[in-house]
Amino acid sequence: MVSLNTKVGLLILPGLNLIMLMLLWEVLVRLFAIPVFILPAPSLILSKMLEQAPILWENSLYTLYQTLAGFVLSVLAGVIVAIAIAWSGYLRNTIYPILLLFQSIPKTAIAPLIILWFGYGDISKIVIAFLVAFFPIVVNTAMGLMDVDDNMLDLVRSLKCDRFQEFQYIRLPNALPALFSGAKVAITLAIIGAVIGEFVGASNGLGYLILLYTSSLQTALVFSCLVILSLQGIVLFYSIEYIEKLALPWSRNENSNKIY
Amino acid sequence: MKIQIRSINLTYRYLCCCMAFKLEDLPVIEVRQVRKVYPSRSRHGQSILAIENITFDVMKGEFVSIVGPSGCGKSTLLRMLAGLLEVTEGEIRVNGKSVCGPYGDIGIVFQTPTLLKWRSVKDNVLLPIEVLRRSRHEFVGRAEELLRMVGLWDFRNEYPFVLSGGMQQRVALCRALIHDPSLLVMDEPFAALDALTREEMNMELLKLWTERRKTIIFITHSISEAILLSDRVIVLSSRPATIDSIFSIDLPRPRTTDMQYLDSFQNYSSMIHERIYLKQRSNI
Repeated sequence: MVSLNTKVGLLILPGLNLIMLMLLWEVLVRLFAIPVFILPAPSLILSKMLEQAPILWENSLYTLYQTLAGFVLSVLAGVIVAIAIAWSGYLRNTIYPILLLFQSIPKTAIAPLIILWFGYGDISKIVIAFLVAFFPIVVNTAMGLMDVDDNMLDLVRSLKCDRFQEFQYIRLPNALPALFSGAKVAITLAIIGAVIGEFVGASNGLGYLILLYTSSLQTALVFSCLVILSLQGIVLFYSIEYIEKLALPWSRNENSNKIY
Repeated sequence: MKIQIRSINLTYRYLCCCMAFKLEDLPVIEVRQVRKVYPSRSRHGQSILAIENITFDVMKGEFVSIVGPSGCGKSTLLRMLAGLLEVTEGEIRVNGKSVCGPYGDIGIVFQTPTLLKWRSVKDNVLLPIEVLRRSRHEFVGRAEELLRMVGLWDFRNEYPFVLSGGMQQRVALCRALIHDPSLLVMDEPFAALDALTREEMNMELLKLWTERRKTIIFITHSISEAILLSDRVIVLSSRPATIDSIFSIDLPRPRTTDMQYLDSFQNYSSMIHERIYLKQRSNI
């Protein structure tokens, strides 16, 4: 019997559950003879997926590219804006309200406009992914930059540090964990942004394929796209978590590592 | 009131005479009629008088403790000494120079270790060197030596989170000493530690002080800690803080923990205790 707390145990149990769920799905679909265009069985989804593998692969790369490009831009711009917000009260008071106003507009609603402005190509999808992912990065990073122990600031200020040093030694490293948790939210949002962009107007990408297959009632292939999208999301999310672990070895669970 | 101030002044002059042959001549810190008023935060709020007319000197190499009821403005005093807070009236001079703004020649130890958790123990100790833009590699040896003195050399490359509270506070002490400041200010540094660790830290601090002869201002709530460590104990009254009395502790050096059981120690203890609590009771 595998102990439930080991890594293997943590992987095996959810895996078994998933397989059971798939089996149940398969059995129910066959038992009630549900039409293929309503709900295809997992086996059918898998076989269609393998059959159309080249097309799915090619289009998923488009989506992945748009997601990542939008995400990277949002991190770059988000960190810069967050630093501006944390730098001075004046900037904070001017930028923040605009940011909140902008955030209150549903990005889905302005997607058609973005397509109108940036065309049907990749750029419009990247812009939408960027817009969706931008906000959590800014908010989290700005919070990390401003939420600093007063004593820490007193300590470096008593040593005549200037504003740049204050950011270099205290605020920026202090904000890294918050930046990463913002990035984990942002990456999942960026995928949504890219897919929305492809829904509204595109000639490739998984969002485009989903629309195409739905209109021709090839539901099994729609499901294949969904599987790939969720796999992309999981892989991207855990990549960021992995990078965080490598980059910030000090911010791992603070209590469990105490050895003295 | 006036009589009391004069008597304090007299004690203070008398003490200066006593100290004159014992310590080097120049006072490191001169606090002159310092007053601190915090302006009101809200429109209808009142401004708060935190410190009223405080005057004292600290000689070079002297160990001075400041005790007083909680919330009496000890931390305000500390921040003013570091140049982090402006005095409303009066003057603070450090090494003869009037303090206006941070001057860098100070080491601070807070109640919490406030180590930067993203830096290794050694890099934490070296932080002041980097902030002061001095050459880091010249001080690496000194950092390691300080860490060895407090018994943490083995942990120099670890992150702070693996250390216990007492160990972290030792690192904070090394960090406060790395740039060889002429003044070391400690704000209830051992208050968060358990009694045993606290005693151990007291002795370690005394050892460091004897070897390096720093001028130390030690803010504490513990009367016995103040007596055990200091040359002089300054008792502050409750807010607004004024100097209630100054006790010169005439116990032999080096001090040991068992001095706490000496009669003279107990005498100091009861006298200081009386000064702090009589005042409070009369307020009630």
